[in-house]
Amino acid sequence: MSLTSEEELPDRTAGVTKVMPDPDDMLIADILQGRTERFEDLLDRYQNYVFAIVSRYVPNRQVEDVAQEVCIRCYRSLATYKGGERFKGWLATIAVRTCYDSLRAGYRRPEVTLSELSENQSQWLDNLMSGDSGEQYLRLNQQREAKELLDMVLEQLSPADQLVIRMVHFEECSAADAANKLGLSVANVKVRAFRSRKKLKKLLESIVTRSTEQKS
Amino acid sequence: MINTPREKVKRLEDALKSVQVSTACDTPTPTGKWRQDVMRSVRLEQDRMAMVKPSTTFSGLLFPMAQIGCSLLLLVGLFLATDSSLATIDLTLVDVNLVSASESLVMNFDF
Repeated sequence: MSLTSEEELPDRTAGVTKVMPDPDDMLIADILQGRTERFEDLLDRYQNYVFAIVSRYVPNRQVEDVAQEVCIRCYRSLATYKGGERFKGWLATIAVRTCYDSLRAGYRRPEVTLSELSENQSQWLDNLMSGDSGEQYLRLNQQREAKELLDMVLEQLSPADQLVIRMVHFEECSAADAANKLGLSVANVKVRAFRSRKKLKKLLESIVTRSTEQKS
Repeated sequence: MINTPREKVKRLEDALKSVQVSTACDTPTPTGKWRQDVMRSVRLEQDRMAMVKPSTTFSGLLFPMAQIGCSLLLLVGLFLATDSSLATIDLTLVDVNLVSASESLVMNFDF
């Protein structure tokens, strides 16, 4: 009985799965062994990601400080990171919670009135209301005013409500995902999302009303 | 042109939503100075964590404390061995106490 070529030369790697070590896990292992300089490599990989998250949830003036705090908290908690889980997701949770803590630390309830809106912000609002095309307000040179206005409006809400509305209503995250990142219960996030959206509508209505009154 | 307040609010809300999800060009980006600050803080954090390690607490603190304790015991031993007046003082005190006790017994009780 003759053997086929496959039988004569069996695949020696069959059934053996090569597991490539995750580069993040290797980096973290090095850092935990005392090679702190390897943290710079971790920064290389994730600093832009951290900035992207932080700049979504805190005003621009606080982004650098909060991002730095995120990195320090990340370093402090590296020993609790379980290798194999998604480092990006783990880091995102730290970043969101740091933003939450930062908002809570500086929380006060300011009174937003249109007189406090800058000239550029009022101009942006006028353009938005009078523009025929919805694309007009997305022009890059107007994004700064829009971001400032967004921050100013959301600062009227409590820190938890701010983050919930940004994540659930604006970014369309699931309530479970937002709850996990914020350390709240899903039910709490749902209730907050509902209530804070109503508050946001009222705030926007007041801004629109005043803008109309000012123009007429 | 939008006219009703409801439409205006909707447009404003949509605009703010698009700002939230967009990556604006003027958001801060990490700079070299920022990285240096982070690494400095991380090194400080490393030093701080090394100081409060449990192993450091026991091995690092127990040993100097034991050294101080041994030194103190040696000093006390030397003092007791060299100062002979201490024993005399003690005995004198005992004598005085015995005399005063017997005097008070005599005064209070009529034998």
